[in-house]
Amino acid sequence: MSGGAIPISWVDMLLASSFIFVSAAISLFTGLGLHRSLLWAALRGILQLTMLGFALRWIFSISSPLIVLGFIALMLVFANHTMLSRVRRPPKGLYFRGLAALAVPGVTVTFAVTTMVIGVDPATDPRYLLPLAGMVIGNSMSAMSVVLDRLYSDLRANSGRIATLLALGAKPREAVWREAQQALRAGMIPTLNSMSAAGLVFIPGMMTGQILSGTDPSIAARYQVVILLMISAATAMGSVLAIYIGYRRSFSASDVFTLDR
Amino acid sequence: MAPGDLSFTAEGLTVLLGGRELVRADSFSLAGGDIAWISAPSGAGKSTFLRGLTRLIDTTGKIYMGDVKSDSIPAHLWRRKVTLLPFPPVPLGDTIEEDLLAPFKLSVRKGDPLPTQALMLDYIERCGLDNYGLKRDTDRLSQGELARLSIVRTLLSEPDVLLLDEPTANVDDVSRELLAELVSAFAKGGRIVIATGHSKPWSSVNRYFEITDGELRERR
Repeated sequence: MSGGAIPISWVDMLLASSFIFVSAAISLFTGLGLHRSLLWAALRGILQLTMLGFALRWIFSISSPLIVLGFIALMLVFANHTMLSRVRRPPKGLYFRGLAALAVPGVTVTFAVTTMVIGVDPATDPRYLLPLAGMVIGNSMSAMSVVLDRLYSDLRANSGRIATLLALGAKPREAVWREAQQALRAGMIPTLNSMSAAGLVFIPGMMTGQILSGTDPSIAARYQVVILLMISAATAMGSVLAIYIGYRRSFSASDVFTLDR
Repeated sequence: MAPGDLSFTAEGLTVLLGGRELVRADSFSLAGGDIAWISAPSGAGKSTFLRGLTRLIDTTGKIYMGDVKSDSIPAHLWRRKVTLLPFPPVPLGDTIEEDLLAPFKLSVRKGDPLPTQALMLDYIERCGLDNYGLKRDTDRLSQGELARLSIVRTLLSEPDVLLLDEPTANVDDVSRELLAELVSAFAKGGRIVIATGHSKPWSSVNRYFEITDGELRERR
């Protein structure tokens, strides 16, 4: 991808941030209380993306498979941490299960697409692998944190119904299945929306980026289709795994439901 | 099953809540046809005790139904035989009919014959809900009506030991008597009923228990 986009200077960046300051000022004067988190999130975003830019430049220049894989592992750890921190009152024992539920579909789908669909050579070329892995893992993370949060809040809210079903001889899975279906649905709604509205409502981020850097829009569209499908597949698999690990953690080894107090 | 064939026994039972010992029952033994009533002040652990008996919470000690020990079979199979109706009652279906059939949707009753329309109508008549028919929405029932419906649902699911938590709360005097008759008919078939409550026990109750200082004792 040569030619590329028009470079953005530091002054341009400052100009871009001014809109955030305007929003923060509005929040401050109207007493809505959003300015602190808005500015903090903006600062984090700026710092993290700038650092990522430097990190990726370094990784691209040395192109070591080990470092690329290490970077993906780090992504997974951060994603797992973020995912679990969004879940209110999670039961114990979710950490490693959450990591596995993120990693298995994320890594499988990413490598399947880079090696088999796009045909990247070598398979660990960071230019393709890291952005794709980031999108897949990031989207799975968002969906799975919604799934788990919704699952546990619904299980708590409906503990009376669950106890009644269990007491009639329901297996744990049967007793929580309605809540599990609802949670899965809630987690998948953004993914379903982004698939059905892509191209009609918004031009997806990656396609935007490719068009900005000079790629032919029809090639960019094909890339976006592949990305959209792989993101959706990984998100769906991750969400289903989240349901399975999630509901099982609400029961003890002796099938006692543990979220009703 | 003839009265007396069935037995339900607990030995050295301790019901635990959050790792803390809440109710003890050194020896607790009922036979087919028995209707037991457990009275205790609020918070003394009546509900917890029933939950322990149906394995909804952990216990130490032994519980037997006949010669089947509670932890010798999977929890859901035990609960199919020793079934609790927790308090407060919640609907399990959108209509009265769906609610009554909900237990038969569970895999543990796969292949069991469904209760017929006639049987369901007979039961809701006997608990005083007959003017509604089977198609009434359950979210339009009052708390007391829901309490009666959920008892009928649990009776139709045919447990061997029926545990009822506060079955007469929110229920008026007339309905109380209707429920008492339903439950006695069920026990007469050789099954066991254990109910808890603050109020006056049903006249058909033949065994009385109290929980005092965390211990279940029979009152003679």
